Amino acid sequence: MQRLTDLLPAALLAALVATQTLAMETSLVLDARAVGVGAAAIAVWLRAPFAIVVLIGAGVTALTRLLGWE
Amino acid sequence: MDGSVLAKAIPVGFAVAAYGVSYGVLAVAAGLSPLLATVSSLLVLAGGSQFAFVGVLAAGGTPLMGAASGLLLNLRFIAFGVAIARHLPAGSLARRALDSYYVVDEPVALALSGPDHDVVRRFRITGVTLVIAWVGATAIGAYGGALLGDPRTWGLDAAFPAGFLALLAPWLRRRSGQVAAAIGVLVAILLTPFAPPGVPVIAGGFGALVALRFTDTPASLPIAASSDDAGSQTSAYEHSPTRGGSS
Repeated sequence: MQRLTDLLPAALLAALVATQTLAMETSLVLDARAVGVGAAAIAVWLRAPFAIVVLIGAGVTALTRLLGWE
Repeated sequence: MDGSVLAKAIPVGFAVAAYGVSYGVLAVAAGLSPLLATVSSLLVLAGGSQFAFVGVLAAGGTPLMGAASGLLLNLRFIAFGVAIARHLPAGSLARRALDSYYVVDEPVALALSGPDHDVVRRFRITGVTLVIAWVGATAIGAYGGALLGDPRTWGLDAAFPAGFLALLAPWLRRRSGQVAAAIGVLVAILLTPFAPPGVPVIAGGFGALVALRFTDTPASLPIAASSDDAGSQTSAYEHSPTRGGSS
């Protein structure tokens, strides 16, 4: 039970990151979200606070779209 | 020591509020009404679960799928409840129910990170701070978000996975967490073309558990440590690979 409550969130969170970055309904796409989440990953690696990570993820995605890549 | 408790609880409140505003905006973008988004924060009071729920909805999944993801994600609160319960006074059923309402990451982490005699006060003060910050910020995001227009323009659809990645970070610092996360990603990606939205996420969670049954990495629980050695514990998210051995 301890192992379940400990590791299930890790697998679920990872699955959520993957699908919400790469899935569009039932197809897999590489779009601006991947760029934003990639930037957010670097922020996480540098141990940025939560709000900064979210801002970078959204901001870089918005910027990528602004530059013309959906 | 109200002052010192508040000095810790208020920064937590601000962090939670930042998260709450984004939840409000994203929940409305996913199709919830501003009122429903706000009420969901009051009733559920668990950011990760709520984000998972609206995330699945936004991806086209059913509400039931979303609720299942949210429930599974926060199974850890069972362990949190056990960790905090022995500190709480017996009291009436209503008092116990209200205390159980506060069993969320921040109040539990703050309560257990300090001397034993003050646990209940730290727990309740942080709990109340959390409720005010989370519900209030959700309302601001939900009712104010409409002014933003298309949330995609602001990259808000990528705010979901970015936030989940930040929540995932503590697990990625240990071996068993890395394995669980890698399998979760793999199963979810492989299933995406074949299963309705929402299913790949849940399957990813369980797929990882099935695979981990056959590995032999030691598990450590975030709040398994007793309150005596929790002084250095700043957040319930912090999974230290050594903590399991230190209690």
